This record gives sequence, structure tokens and C-alpha cells, in this order.
Amino acid sequence: MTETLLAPAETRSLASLGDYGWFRRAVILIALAAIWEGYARYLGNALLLPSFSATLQALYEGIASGELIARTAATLTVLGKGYALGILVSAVLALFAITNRWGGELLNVLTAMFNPLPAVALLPIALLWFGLGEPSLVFVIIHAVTWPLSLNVLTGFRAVPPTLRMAGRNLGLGGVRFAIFILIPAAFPSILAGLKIAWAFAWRTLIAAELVFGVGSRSGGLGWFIYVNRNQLETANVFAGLLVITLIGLIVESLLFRSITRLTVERWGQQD
Amino acid sequence: MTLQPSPSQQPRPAPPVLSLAHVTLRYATPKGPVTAAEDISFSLAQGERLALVGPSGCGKSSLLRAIGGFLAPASGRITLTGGRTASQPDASRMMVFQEFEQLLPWRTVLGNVTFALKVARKLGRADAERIARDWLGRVGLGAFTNAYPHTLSGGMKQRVAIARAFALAPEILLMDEPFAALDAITRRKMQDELLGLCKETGATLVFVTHDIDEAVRIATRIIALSPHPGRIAGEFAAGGVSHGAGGGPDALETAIRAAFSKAPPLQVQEAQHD
Repeated sequence: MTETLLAPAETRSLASLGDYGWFRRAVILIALAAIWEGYARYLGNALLLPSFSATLQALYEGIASGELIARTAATLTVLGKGYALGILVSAVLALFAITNRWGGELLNVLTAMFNPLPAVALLPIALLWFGLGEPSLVFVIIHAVTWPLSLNVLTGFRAVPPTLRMAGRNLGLGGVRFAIFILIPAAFPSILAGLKIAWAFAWRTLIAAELVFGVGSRSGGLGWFIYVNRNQLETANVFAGLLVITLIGLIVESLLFRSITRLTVERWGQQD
Repeated sequence: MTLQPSPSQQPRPAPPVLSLAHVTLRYATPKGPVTAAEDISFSLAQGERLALVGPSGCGKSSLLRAIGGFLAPASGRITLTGGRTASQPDASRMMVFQEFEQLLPWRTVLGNVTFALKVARKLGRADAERIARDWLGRVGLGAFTNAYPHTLSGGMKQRVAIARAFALAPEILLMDEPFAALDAITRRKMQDELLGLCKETGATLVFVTHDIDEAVRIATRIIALSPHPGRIAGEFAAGGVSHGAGGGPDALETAIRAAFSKAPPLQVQEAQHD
């Protein structure tokens, strides 16, 4: 702290660049890449730890050959299906729960039972029921999405201020229109938080499921790509796969959800 | 108990826009039913401005909610124009609440009023926006139509709610201590503005307040309620007295206070929320 205060004049321009978050992030990322590169070269064992440049090379080749693209597409397709179905199940459960006391209790019990259960733990059962393939993965993703999301949606609905509810009913809104025009937007901060958590659960669940149980080489996703390459000791490809997983996670969590938050709850002054 | 109307008041037109007959309101609480208001009867003619005054716990807010259709009476009847019963809320009675949360935070100032007009009056976008802009201009928010509610001060939020209520041109405006959460200067200013809008439009108003001064300023008629449970302690014609005009309001205020002190049970402290 004192050092910064007493810094000589020449470092002023650097210090002011450091005021930008993106600049600090870029510096940290470059530093991490440099450390990785340096240590990998020092180790000199590409089987254990390929260098950063070798990983980028593998990433480039994977993209150029189309294999990584196809794997990523496979993973995202399964994820999209499971996520969408999970949202649908949550919506039905949450709407049932707010319109009916039994529905509320049902959701409470189901959430208490299933929320602590990691979705991957259901995979053996899913494989037994649906066989080796996409339906099993979709099933575990639905499980990963439904409980945290329903819980958030219900909490959001219940937290809608009574005055706002009355203001809505005063306009003659009821039933589905009341839900669409008042409840859902009013509960949106909570719903968005639920969607974020559900995404994180679904993403991690799917990659783990693919890694462990990978589904046939033709339709396998990113997890399967990593699994196969590890077996073939193509460690650079493994790291390229991990890089793609990280990138997609970053894009969705920092860009997509961040933008939605900025355009909605922040603009409405509802950020908790 | 009733002071007779001052000469300036017009004779009441025949059919009332609102009439309450022996209305009793009860709440179910974990400790059993609580009676909020008991045997309340009055009727209201077109263009009247009625203030329901009383200390906390006299059931005045509950009564307003029952008129709005948010609360069903345990007994008695609330009748509107054309013999309708006030069993469901609708835009024929527009409520302005004390809480700022009555605005939709995800819509702009203009959006809040326009949305109400589209939903409750089935207006097209262009008509709704025209009426909304007109009313927002009248409450002095013409420059804030694109602002989101959370960026406004408390007084401005209440102005949006008032503009929204007036824009829908309801049969009766219901206001539940709309200025109670505002500072004294803003409150005073908004009382005058509300009075101006009411006179301009000839609106029928039921206004709930615990502030006798506010009631005297805004209302043409005042009903004083005694607490636990709320009963009518007295009714007064305020007859559009303007504040500061020769003793009128002060005398009225004294009379209202006297009504409270005579009504059993005697003055109850502000112990419970309404």
C-alpha cells in the first residue's frame, strides 16, 4: 500500500492502467500462462504436463480437424436438452407449489430429498433404465437442474411483496396472466440466480458423466474426448479439452449470465 | 354527532357509488380470529372525498382493502355502482398504497402507467402512452418517463402511483396513507397536488390516514374510527374548508379528537400495526 503511494512518477501510467479490471485480468492470465509454459519446459515431460504452447497447438488442431467442434456441439446439445427440460419441470412444480398447499409441500419434500443427491450418483440407475446413451445423460441433467432451480423459483415467488401482488390484482390480473406479468418478473432475480446455479450443476454433471460413462465414440462429447485422449496418452489433447470446458464455462457464466443480469435485475435496481 | 354540511356543499345525487352496510371484517390469526372493524355502514356519493381517520389498529386499512375487493367481509355488504358487490379487485377501484413497492420495478415510469392502461382498460399502445404521458406530466414527472422506479425518490414514486391510479379513471380512488412514508415538506406539497387533481377531475376518493390534519385538508367528509375493533366514532363534514380560513379546520380537528376520546375504549396507544 505504502509502496504504491510512494511510487515514482514514471510508474503512474502503469498504475492508472491497473485501474482497469480487464487489464489486471489480462496480466494475471498472461502470467499464469508464462508460469505454465516455463514449468512444463523445465519438466520436459509432455506425457505428464504438455506446455501451454503445445496445448494451444492441440487446441488449434482439434478445432481445425473439426473433432473438438463436433465434441463440443455434442456436449452442448445434450446439455441444452436437459437444461430446457429441467426448466420445464421446475416451472410446472413451482407453479403447482404456489397455487396449491399440497403442491408446496410436495416440492418441499422432493427438494429436501433430491437436492443433496449429486446428479452423477443417479447415473448407474439412469443407465439401467435408459441404457447407454443420450437419454441417460439428459435424465441426470434434468435432475441436476430441477431441484436447485425449483427451490429458487419458489423462494422468488414467495418473496414477491404483498403490495406488488395487490397492485397486480388491482388491474384485474389473475391466474396465468398474473403469473406472467407480475410473479415471474418480480421473482426474476431469484429465478436468474436459480438458472445460474442450475447451469453450473448441469455443466459439471454432464462433463463428469461423460468422463465416467462416455457414450459410444460416435456421439461422445467433451468428457469422452478427454477420456479417449488420456487413454491414448495424448495429454496435450486432454489439456485442450479442459481448456474448451473452461472457456465455455467462462463464456456462459461471465458473459451470458453477466449480460442478462446487467440488462435486467441491475437495471431494475433489484440486485440483491 | 354529525356536524351538518357547510352551505357550499352540493346536495347529494341519488345513487351512491359506494355503500357499506353493517360491514364486519375479521382476520384469522394463529391466536384465533381478530375483529378488525365492526358494523361499519356509510355510503359515498359521486365526487365526495372521504377520509377514514383513526389511530393504528382501528381497521381503517382493512376497510379500504375490503372496499378494494382484496378482503371479504365476515358479514355485511359492500355495494358499488349498479349494485355490484366488491368481491374481487378490479380497476374500477384503484388503490394507491403507502409502500413504494406498488410500482413494477422492471418497467419504467411510463411503462408502469402504460401497462396498467393496456391491461385494465384494454387500450392500444399509442392511446395508452398518450394518456400515460398526459398524467405523468400533470404530476410533474414529464421529464422522468424513461426512469426506472428505483432511481426515483419516495415522493416521485408515489406520484407515479397516483398518476397510474388517475389515468385509469376509476369510479373510486382508494388511498392507503400514500404520504405516510414521506418527509413533512413533500407530504404537504403532495397533499395540495392531490387535492388539485381531485377537484380538477371530480374524482371520488376514499383516503385512509392517521393524520387528522391531512384528513381535514383533503376530505369533504371525515369518518373517525375507534380502535380494537374499529367502529365509527363520529362523522364530520369538512366541506372543502381551506386551511387557515377562520377557525374551521381547527374547530373540526378539536371535534374529531373529542370523538376519539368519547368513543369506548378510550385512546389506545400506537401499539400494533394496522
